[in-house]
Amino acid sequence: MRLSTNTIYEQSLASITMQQEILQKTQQQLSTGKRLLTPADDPIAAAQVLNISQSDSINTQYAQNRTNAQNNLELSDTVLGGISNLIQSVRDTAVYAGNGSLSPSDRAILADTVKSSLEELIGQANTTDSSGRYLFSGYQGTTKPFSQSPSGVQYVGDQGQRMVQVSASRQIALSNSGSDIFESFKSGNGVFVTGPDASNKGNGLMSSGTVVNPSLMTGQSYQIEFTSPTQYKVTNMTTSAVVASNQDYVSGNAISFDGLQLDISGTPAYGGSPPVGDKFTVNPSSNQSLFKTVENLIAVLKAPVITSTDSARLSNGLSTALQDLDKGLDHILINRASVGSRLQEVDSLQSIGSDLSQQYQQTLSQLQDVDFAKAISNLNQQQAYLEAAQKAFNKVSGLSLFNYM
Amino acid sequence: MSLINTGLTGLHAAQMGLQTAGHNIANASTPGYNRQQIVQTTNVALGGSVGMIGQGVNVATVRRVYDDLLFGQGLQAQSQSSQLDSYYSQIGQINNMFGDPNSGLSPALAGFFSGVQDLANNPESVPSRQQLLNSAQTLAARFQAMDQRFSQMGGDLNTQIDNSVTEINSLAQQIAKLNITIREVQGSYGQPANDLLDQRDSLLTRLNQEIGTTTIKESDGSLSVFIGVGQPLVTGVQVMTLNSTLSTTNLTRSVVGYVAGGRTAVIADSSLQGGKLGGYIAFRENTLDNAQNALGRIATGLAKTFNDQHHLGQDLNGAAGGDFFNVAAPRIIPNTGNTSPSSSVTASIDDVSSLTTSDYEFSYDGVTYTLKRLSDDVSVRSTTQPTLSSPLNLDGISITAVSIVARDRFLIQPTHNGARDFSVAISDTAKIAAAAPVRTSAILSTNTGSGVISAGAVNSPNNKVIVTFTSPTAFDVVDSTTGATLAKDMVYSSGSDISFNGWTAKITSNTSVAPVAGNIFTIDRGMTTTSSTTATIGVTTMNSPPLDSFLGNTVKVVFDSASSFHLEGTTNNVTGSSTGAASAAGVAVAASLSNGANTAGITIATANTVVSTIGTGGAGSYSSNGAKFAINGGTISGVSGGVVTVSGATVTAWGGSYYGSTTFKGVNVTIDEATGAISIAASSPPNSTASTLHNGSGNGVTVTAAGAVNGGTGVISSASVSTPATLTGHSYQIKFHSSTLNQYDVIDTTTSTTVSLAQTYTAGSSITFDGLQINITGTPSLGDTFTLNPSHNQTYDSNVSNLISVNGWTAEITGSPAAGGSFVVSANTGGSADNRNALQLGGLQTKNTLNGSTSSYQSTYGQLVSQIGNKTRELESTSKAQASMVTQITTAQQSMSGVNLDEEATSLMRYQQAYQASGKILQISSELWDTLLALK
Repeated sequence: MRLSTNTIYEQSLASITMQQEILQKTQQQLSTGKRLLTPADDPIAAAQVLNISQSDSINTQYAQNRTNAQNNLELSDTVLGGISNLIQSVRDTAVYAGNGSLSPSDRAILADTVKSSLEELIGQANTTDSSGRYLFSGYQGTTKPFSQSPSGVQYVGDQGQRMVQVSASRQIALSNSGSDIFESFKSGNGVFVTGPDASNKGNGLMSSGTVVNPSLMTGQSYQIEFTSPTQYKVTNMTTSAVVASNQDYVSGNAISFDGLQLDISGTPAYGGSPPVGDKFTVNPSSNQSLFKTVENLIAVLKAPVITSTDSARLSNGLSTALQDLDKGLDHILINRASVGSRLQEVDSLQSIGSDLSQQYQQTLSQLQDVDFAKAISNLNQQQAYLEAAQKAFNKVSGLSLFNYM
Repeated sequence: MSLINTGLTGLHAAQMGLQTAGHNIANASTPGYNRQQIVQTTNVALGGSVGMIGQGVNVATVRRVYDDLLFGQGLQAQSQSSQLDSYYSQIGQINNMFGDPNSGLSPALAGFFSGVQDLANNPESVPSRQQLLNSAQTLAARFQAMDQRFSQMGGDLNTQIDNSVTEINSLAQQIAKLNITIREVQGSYGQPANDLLDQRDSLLTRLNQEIGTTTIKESDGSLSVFIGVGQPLVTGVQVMTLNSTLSTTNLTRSVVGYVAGGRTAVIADSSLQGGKLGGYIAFRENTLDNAQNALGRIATGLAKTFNDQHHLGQDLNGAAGGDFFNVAAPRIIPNTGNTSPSSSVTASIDDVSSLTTSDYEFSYDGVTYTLKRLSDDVSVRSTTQPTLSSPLNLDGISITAVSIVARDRFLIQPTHNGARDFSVAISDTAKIAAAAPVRTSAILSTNTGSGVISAGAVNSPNNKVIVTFTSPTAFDVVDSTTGATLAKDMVYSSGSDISFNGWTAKITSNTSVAPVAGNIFTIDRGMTTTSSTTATIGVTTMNSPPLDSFLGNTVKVVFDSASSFHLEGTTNNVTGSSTGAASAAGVAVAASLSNGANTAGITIATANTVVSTIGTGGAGSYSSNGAKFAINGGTISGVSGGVVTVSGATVTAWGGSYYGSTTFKGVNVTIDEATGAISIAASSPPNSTASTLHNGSGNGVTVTAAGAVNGGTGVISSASVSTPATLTGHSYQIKFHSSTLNQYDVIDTTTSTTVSLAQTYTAGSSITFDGLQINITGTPSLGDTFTLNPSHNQTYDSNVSNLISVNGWTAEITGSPAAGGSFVVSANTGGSADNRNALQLGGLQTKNTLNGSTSSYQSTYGQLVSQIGNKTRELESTSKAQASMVTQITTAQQSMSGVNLDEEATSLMRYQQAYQASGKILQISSELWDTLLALK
């Protein structure tokens, strides 16, 4: 084919320019370490890089959230641990107070001990976290949740639960509200609560009772009233129906009705004019406050014990307190276990999170990072091509017939 | 003599050959030069008896070695290549901007949402709040910077188009001038004007680098050039001028016009193909506009969805969340040709998930108003001018217009300014709404069961709400996003407001014909639709803030039994009942309060003893414990059987008038619509604890009551359902005869029909009718009455979803609550550590809110980057391919027409030798002459 001299020059130049362009790109890839220099280099990978980078940054954020959650939950765990120790010691005091040889002044000292435990308990319940928020105040971060008032310890927080996003699909509770932890365990035996009437004259003691037939339980209130020194009747206070009347009383014998069973021991009184009998009540369990329980215990310890009625009241009071303290302790332990299981979940999410992060980094690297070995070999190859093109141009351009004229 | 002549012709021809070769060598590198050759022919031979004697040579012409076809192909390839090159170099700038990890949107977006998460972790921390505002500012600055780059490119394009047009005009002038010269030269010499033709071709090549042309060669040697779809640029010696002018539809951009007869006619962008100009225009049309709109769509979508969620929250001051971002308004550009000065169009964005990246045109042809999507010409039409109550809707935007006259046109760009006008609306850290406005709690003193209430969430006004008519006068309302029932058995009154989830709308009967049972009205993101043919639903208006006006009112959920509850408190929809778990038997819990004025509503206070007051009073107003009953102009006709009957009066309770029968505040008010008679009685047992939203009492199906002034000792039991299938949901009265002891009638007071007559009463035995069963014990007196009314209680079943949704919030109760247990939903005052709304805001990062709810902000941005990347890559390869096409054609053309110096060297030697040889002929001829002279 006929070639014009211009073509010879232009084509040589074009091929040299092309080789330079390729070489420059490889050089840029090597110097940045990135295979993808602009989205046009691999549009699909570029979009993937953006999406995975976002997932990675979200994952990093979740890791921070989890660390936050861990700190908070660990703090809760510590506080709840301290509180269960406190309850334990109050319980020990209550057991000790049942010792009949104690003098009123001994009990007053015990009451003071319990009083200081109460103060400590309130202090623990008002714990703040590292950023100064109250741990157990629900959404009211800046409101001190428990305060003492003439009518006892009041909860002024709310029942909100702060949540934290610990993974894409999981929010975990950071806190439990104070009312949930301290004020909502069930009194009595968890189903119903028994107790002597405050006006009782005798020394009758009432057991906490048990459920013997759940299907017969009504969830209603009852009253056991002595109708003679040896007989009693049971009235359903909700419906006003008499459940049983003229029952013979034997101290310590089981009294059963409507699926529940309990006993009364000692000598309940019946007398006066008109004659009035001692009364004992059975009510459905309600939500009990730990503070109220301790306050009640203090009141029981401080009450003078002169007559046998007083000592019956003391025994009944201590037994109620012990029962409530046990329920309260159980409730704290359940809460602590729940905090523990959340901590465990956060831990396992944390390790999943770091695996994920590794995967993201790996994928990102595969998508956008340069393969150095390959790139360097490419660079050498392209360099050789460029040199060849330059040499060839040099040779060709030297050829001219005019050299021989 | 002839030999010397023959020699002379040879000498002459060789000389011209040398000259031509020299010309070729001299012009070897002249652009557009085609090599020339002399065309030699023999002179006419002289005839004689010995034959024809040759008379030498002559040069017929100097030929340009040239191929029209190849040149034409070269031009076209060149024009294509220029277009692709200029497109590629423009898009390359955007590609590089997206390629730079620091200048893209992603880091700013991730930083912003990291700020939101930080806020969720520390909702009351001022540094965290400040940090969020800072990262929001960064995001806004990034959006603005990227948008500015786009706008700048748009401005640069205008300049480049101007330059290109100037160049085209200048080239056209030069071609026309050459046409004149070529015509003259060729006319006078009859020979091709080779070098001038080369020059003209070279100009044509340059012209094609600016814009694609077609040409026609005229017989006189001049060349006519056409651009676009046949618009003449040069015709012979005539030149038409192009002009770059600002678009009439969009004053910010240059378009190319064609000056003819003193007027500029705009050439459609689509017909400007080829060359740099074609490249600029294609880039602007296909890439720049789209990219800017796509970025704007992300900005608008983010701002609006974030705001929507922010509105549902509560800030540190306890106020409802305001706008977090400023959202760009759609850009509306009236056509400069619009004749009416007062015509205007407004556009608003209702649904960001439906937004596209296209622009729109609104036009009116005198008959039809048209809103057209410019990307694919899909349009919606209306024959009436779109107004607020009936706008034109397309792709999530709605258009209204005023004073439009025929041939008016408006360009509407919903997302063009989205990124430019994206900014942070708040600067006070306390105004970030991290908390939710309501909170829930269980009342510890009364809750003995294990029931738990969820944290409660505010219903979004964007939730899809479905209003279903159950009869011509009653409808149910369901939030189909949460699945909660918002209201049951609302009484329909044409034209009155219904208000849920922060918006208000009206359902109106077209012709005094009420909607029929089964008619459905849908409210979705502010858009309303209906299946009804007899009633319409108007547009929704948002409350400000877009929350239910009763949102913060305390509502108490009280369990009457383990399987039945009612609500107490204040709501705007008095008859709203609350749960998907309505009575299993399908009993209609029909309330029949018609709430005339939704906004005022009925406020019901605590217990009262209003019965005696009303029972003994006269006409006038009565009030008790905050509940007001105004009896206007009525007379109380007497006390009979414990029922007060008022004729021709209206009972008004806080702004609404009520017809039918209901019970509130422990008082039973019955109004007979036909006669206007009103009866007021105590509901029995009087609702002594509190009045209720749902008049709750009874067993969840029916409320039974003894007449207030019964003389006997009769006690009515609660009703049980004996046959669910035959339940009516009506009210009944059991009326003991006034003259005969132990005889009673059962009357359906809803329909005023007698169910059974003169039954004999036996204490404690079952009384069964219409699927209900009760018994009465004791000794009723003569004339004593007992009533049964449908209960507005809800049944509770822990096995199904128990969503409660009133006053714009939704909460769920789970577990097993016990009778007497109650839960409270109230305003979240002081909830500084509440992060529920912040968590919702954080969730938006990965939520698919854009692009028909298929993409998140980031993935939408990813799509944009990948689109630009793909287009750049495509252009990179097509422009390379086109360049190599140009090279091939040029090589072929050069192969034929280009100068090869070696070849010319050969020619030089050849013609030199021919010259020498011809010289020899002269020498020989001269010697021959000398020989003859010597003979003398």
